[in-house]
Amino acid sequence: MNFSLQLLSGLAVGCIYSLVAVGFSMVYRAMGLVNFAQGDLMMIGAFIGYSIIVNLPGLPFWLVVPLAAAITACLGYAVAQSALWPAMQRGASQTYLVLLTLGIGIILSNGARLVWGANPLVYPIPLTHETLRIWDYPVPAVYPFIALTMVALIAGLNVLFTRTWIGLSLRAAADDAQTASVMGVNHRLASAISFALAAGIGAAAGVLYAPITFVSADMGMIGIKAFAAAVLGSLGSIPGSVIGGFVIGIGETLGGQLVSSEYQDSLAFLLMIGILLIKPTGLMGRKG
Amino acid sequence: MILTRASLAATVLLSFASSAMAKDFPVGFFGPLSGPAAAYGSESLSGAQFALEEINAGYLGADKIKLIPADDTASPGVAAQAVQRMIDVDDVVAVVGGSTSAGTAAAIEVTKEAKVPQLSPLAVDSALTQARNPWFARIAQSSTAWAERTAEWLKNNKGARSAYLLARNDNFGVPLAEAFERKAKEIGLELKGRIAYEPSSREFKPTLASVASANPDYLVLWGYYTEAGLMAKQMAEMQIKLPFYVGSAIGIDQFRDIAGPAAEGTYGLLYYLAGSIETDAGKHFVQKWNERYHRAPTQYEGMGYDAMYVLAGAMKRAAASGGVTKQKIRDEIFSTREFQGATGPITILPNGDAERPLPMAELVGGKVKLDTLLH
Repeated sequence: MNFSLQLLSGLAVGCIYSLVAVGFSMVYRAMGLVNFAQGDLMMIGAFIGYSIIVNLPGLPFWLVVPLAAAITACLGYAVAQSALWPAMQRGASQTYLVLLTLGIGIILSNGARLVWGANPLVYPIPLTHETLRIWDYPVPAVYPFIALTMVALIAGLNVLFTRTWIGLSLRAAADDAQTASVMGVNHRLASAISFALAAGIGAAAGVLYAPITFVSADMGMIGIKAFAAAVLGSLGSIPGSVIGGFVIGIGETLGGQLVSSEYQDSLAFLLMIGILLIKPTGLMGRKG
Repeated sequence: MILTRASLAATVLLSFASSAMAKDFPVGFFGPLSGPAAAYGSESLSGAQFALEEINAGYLGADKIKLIPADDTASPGVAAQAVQRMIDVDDVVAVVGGSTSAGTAAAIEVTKEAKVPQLSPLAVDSALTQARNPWFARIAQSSTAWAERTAEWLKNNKGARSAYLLARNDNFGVPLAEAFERKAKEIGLELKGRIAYEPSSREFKPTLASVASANPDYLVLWGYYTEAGLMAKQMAEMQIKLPFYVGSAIGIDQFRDIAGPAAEGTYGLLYYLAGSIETDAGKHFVQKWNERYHRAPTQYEGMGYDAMYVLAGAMKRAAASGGVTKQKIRDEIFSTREFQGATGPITILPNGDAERPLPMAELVGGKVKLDTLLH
């Protein structure tokens, strides 16, 4: 029973890592940029979710997720248009851009402290403390929401990138910006939309993660593990990010029990290092 | 008539003279005012500021204390920088802080070098006073005292035969765990396991699974309230039913928010529990706090209040014996004996440690109830 519970727990945490990792990969593909503010955008989304719950009591939780995601996506769009794109236009180096995203993350974290305060916040909804019984296993009530949102988001992204004009434009701009612009795709707009989408997906992860733990300004630290997941799966690959998130989530939970719970966090990174030693391009990477 | 006018003029002149001689003594305060340990710093600061209002209303005569607070974000590096700035820029005569052992450990190197007395309301790490730093004292008991009293209480009051120990892997959790383990061995309380977890962890289910398989009588945690809350919650999710000792977390609202219904029935040793001190000072504090905030003071608010009063008492005695200097404040802090504080009588020992009563409490019906006042 313990093993099954640990597996479910690892899957749930893995979903959260996957969603944040997908954000890393989307921005990397669209802008060639490692966005270290991704974890902090997730944190802002979780705080926005808290404000929605407090100010609109009675709103179903499944509506809180897209609402917080949409608001955070708007914030992401503004960040991309006002800070990142101008820096890229001026030919900023990768080092500068990474530092810029780190700075944006710190501003978001300190801004959250100013707006929501320093103390950890708990979503004041029954879902936070309820458990369900699935095949006689006690499972936190938020787990089904996490699973359904994960499936819906991945399916939605698949449809977006394969069946819609806007999604195909985003892919075209990401793959070859110059050719895409000849075909009428606005690279700046495409990049900003990709960044906004990544922020929205991160926010959804934050809102789903909050009932498992709590919301605090340092919640963005989860971004480090999500980045590891994205690298493990091949940075830039959305399926790779999803797989990487599950590998890290399940690896640290089961590894924590089977090997040593004292080094649970280190195990996730050991796993990443081990896989990258065998396959340096990541799980979904191609040679060359 | 002439006499009356003359005496009035003399009174006015004297009052001008005394206000001209009155001084504002800058005193620094540092602790985490933001981040996951914010409750420790922000609440002890509130208590210190509350005490300061009373102190500045005449406790030091015409003199006043000007408090200079700083947020160390629970980071040792930030704590050291903040204290250095207070000393260099604000020329503080004393420092109250820190609220975490790690932050305090970093700051005492600065205050020792600058020869500025430092009084911590909350830091418990035994190592802080082992070096017998003459410039550092605290009103919180050492981690050794906390851990030993908890082990004795489990064995003698609860009849526990075994315990499992979880500790935050830092200089807050590890010294407490080591002292608990030593005492447990001494009194015959079996330790079924001990795990030091990463301070940044939020997922404790693998750890809790190990605890459940060992089946101890009690689970004892030396960690922060956020971790205590998550562990209680995750134990409930895993349907692990074990009496859970969570330390001072039991007195923190956020612990109860995070743990939810799983907080019920947990035990904890508090720095202070409002209503447990029957002295005049204890009653005065609770009454005045209730009048202002319409609620009882928290343990950290009580400790901040008493730290400020112990310092002000030392400054008052220093003033009476010739003048308020850093050296004299230090000497008077270390001569504090049976100070009638709101959190109980406080005695500062020669090594800078303190003797005070410690309330062991249980969470019953969502309220913190006194189990035993440990001396």
